[in-house]
Amino acid sequence: MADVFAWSGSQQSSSRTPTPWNEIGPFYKRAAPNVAELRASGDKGLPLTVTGRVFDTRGQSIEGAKIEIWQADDHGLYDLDGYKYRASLTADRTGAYGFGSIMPGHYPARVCQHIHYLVTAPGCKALTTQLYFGTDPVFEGDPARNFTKDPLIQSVELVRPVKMTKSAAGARADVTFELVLERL
Amino acid sequence: MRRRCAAAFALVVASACSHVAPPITAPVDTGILRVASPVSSLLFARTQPVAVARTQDHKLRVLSLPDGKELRAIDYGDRLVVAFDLSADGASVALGDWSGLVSVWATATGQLRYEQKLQKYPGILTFSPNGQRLAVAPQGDAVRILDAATGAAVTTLGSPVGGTLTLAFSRDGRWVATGDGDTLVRIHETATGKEVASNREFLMVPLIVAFSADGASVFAASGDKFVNIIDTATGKTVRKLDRTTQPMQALDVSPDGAPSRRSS
Repeated sequence: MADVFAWSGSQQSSSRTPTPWNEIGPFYKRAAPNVAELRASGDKGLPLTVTGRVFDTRGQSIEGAKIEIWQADDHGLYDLDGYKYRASLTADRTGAYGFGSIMPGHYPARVCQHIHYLVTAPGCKALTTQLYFGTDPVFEGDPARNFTKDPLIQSVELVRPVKMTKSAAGARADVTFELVLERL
Repeated sequence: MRRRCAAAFALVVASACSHVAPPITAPVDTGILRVASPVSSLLFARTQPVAVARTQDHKLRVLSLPDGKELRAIDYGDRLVVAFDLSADGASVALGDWSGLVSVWATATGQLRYEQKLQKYPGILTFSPNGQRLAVAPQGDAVRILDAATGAAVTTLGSPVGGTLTLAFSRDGRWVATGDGDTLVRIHETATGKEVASNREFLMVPLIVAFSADGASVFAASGDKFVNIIDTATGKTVRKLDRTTQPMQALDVSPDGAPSRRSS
């Protein structure tokens, strides 16, 4: 998995805006396994790959940042009994992280598809946020205009473009989501 | 023994967690209450014959009980409500919206007592049982304890990762229990905000906390589908009830609830 998600971007640093906060929500579960592939063979749902890097606001990558993620399954349900679609990842020496999953379903009490993040690193303020998808039908193709349909989305920056590809193996989605932490 | 303990509090089990309660789409008519507009939520004062209905025409309707007569309506405009509470004596009603604005009105006059603008929206507004304090939990930030009458800051609790998702005062107002984003249950002294004990037995975020009638124990439930009974003084789990099939969304202690120590 590490090779799949290897980052080839520039190491150049520049100042960055902190990633907007979003609430942690009721389904966080600590002690998730360190696995980068959350999708099992036969899982329903659009295969999804999320990659990104973790930076501080000075633009320096944060090696060893801990990225905990959790999401609903294709039906919009969270696994409360185990750790399905839950993981705890560690950013590599360039701050890169990545995981394979499925596009989350619509959780009944929420408007939009989303993946939760809790990001922590020594010397940085912990970040809770959520990743949203520009292809979510709720946005009607115009996230900048319609992101407020979900009152929890208080910044359109959290709605990321989705690159859709089709091949003989079927359709898949790729998303990049960078995370910027504030130093303490 | 387990039965006796279970009888000490009432449990309401729901199948999913929700940020916003689904609106009731028809006027309330229980034979006692008739409200002019469909009701989104309804709160009863614990010690006085007063209720407040939040209705879909953006009003807080103050009702006398048991006749259900509408005493007055408070217009809160086009605000998108995220939290709402009524003091135990029915004298004050608090409302918070997604913009972070918290407003408190006197139900006797409908006059605004005070307003505060928070950086983040308040997921929780809770009056202490004696009506003297109002706890405000901006999502992701530290809980603020206010003087309920004036809005003056009394103290601020610690700032756990993920903030506080549920809280409760003990009946005498001495303690505040919080269920926090880092999955801990914490117990604080209300006057100082000092954390006096914590419990980290849950793997998931605590969704409900409630004190026993005597304040000696805290009942806590989470997505783990357990209810733990926690000793207020030490934070230790004194017993764990049978696992439920779904996470609990509401849990309350009956007024004559037996102290958990009798059940342990």
